[in-house]
Amino acid sequence: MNAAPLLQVQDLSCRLGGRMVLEGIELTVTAGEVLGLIGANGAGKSTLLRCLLGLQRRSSGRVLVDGCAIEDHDGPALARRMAWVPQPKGAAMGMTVVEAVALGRLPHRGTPGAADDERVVAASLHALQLGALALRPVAELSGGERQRVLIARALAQQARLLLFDEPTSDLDLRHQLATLQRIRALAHDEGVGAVVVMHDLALAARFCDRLLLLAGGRTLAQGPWPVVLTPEHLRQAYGVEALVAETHGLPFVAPLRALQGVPVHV
Amino acid sequence: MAASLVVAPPQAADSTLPSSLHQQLLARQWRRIGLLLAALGLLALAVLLSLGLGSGSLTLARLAQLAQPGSLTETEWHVLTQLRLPRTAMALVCGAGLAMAGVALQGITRNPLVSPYTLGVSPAAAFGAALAILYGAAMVPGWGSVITVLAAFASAMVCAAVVLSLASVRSVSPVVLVLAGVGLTYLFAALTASVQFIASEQQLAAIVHWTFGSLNGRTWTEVAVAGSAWLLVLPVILAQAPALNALAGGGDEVARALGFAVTRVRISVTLAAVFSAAAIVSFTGVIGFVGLVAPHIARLLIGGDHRWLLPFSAVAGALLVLTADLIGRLAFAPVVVPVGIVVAFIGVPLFLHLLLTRRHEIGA
Repeated sequence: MNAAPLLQVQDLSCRLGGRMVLEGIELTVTAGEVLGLIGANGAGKSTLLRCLLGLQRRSSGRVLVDGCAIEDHDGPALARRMAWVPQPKGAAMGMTVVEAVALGRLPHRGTPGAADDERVVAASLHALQLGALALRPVAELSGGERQRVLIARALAQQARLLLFDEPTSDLDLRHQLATLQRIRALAHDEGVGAVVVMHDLALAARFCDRLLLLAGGRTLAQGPWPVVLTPEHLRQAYGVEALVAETHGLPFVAPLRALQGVPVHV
Repeated sequence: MAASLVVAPPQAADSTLPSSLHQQLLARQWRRIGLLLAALGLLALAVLLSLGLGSGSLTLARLAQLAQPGSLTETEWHVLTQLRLPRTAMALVCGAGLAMAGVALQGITRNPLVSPYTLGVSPAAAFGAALAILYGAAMVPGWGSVITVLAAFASAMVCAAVVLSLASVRSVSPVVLVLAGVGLTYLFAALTASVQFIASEQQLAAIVHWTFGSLNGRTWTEVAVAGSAWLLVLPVILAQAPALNALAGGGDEVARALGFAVTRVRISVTLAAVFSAAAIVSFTGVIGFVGLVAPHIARLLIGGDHRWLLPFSAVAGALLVLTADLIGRLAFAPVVVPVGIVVAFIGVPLFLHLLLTRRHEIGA
């Protein structure tokens, strides 16, 4: 049943404007797993996500989706396997919620799956509680609602691998929780593999099965949160002195003070 | 509670779905069909009025007798077939073509302020025409207007080439494209102003008249050339409707992540849009507002799905230009106000009204 991992990255490097922004990245995501990508601003989290999607050209290394290099999938076939949830931005251009979610069905054009378009769109809207907003213009929605539209679009793609770029950045506490629980449920109940770029370390530790900590474009640590979130790693990656604890079975990270003279990669 | 999504088995999903969504989508589909038919009905009415109204003895009542052979006088027949029909046809081609080019360009740049005019294509055409007039195109007997049109087209295509080469650079964002268009608009406006500065009084009048944008004296040949240019690009643009949805709804990177070859789409759509716009404005002169305002009106009425938006914009644009021309012909008859001016007078207040009252839906 479990053949190739959903996503495999081998020795990925990326040079941007003469600077190495990513170097020697290795990672694997299997079905049912949530991988959290963490690191300071400019550590290369978003660039890594864009490399995985093929939006950013890498200098070396391989990215395999379902055991096959992303260059060897044709565009729509890759989009049926890997979906991206970007941060909400840009003009809505008159699109309604249902139209925006239906964009996720575009990679299925001309495949037998296209017959299910309406049902899948409806199910995606339903899953994100967007049913009542279906015919509302996207431009009228709040930031959190727009975020949900983007997640619903990715669900409509029916991809087994989902890449989230800071999915909680625009959300209040309640919606942060709901979104992360949703991502976790997708992975644990539906066997989706997810890569999630995050800033909140406590939430990342709590909702991700594994964390990958980037610092200056390199992997500083990778594994379960107690291995990754050590005061020493946080000092190196973020240039802060931090307290890491576990209370009531929940991870807890408190930055105490910024350190002088520690190189922070911006 | 959690409906199975990713590998959703049909029964499970169906049982949890609100069937009202299906009803809503169905209702929306009928609404779209109704709107399209209503717009086509209005357009047919406008065509009828355009053929039956104006100076001369050919009236709507006389037009109604067309069914009986030989009922129209030779003059009336001439007015109908050689003046009003080509003029009406040109208005349709011009409105539909410019509006569709506007929708397509707004879609690929995900910017509601883009149009053939704002990308500099129309101002460039004006400069080409002005240059031709300055260098005495009118002196060449029989070929004056042909040379002017060719010069306008060549100049518009130079501008289009600049826009296109920018659009084909992968790392250039739509914002850069839009700002480059602003720059090109100023450049060609300045060039036209320089030509006007050194032109003789007679040439100046001809240049100014051309820049107004007018449907006066359009011939069947001109309609055929502009119409063919538009019909040529029509399937190209319509075929890209799904890609335009992805680009307008998510931008370049989302469209790429959805599997579209974005650079190729951008080049083919930009080429199709600016080519048809250049072909049209070369004959009509600068009619600036259609390509901007018709797509907005259409988007507000029919939504952002380009499979509907493209055809509906074409109808809306045709209706706008034809109505404007009709008003221009009748308001101060026998003086004919150039259609470019009337379009601006109708379009600008309409545009501002939409912008202020429904800006959220436009996405601005």
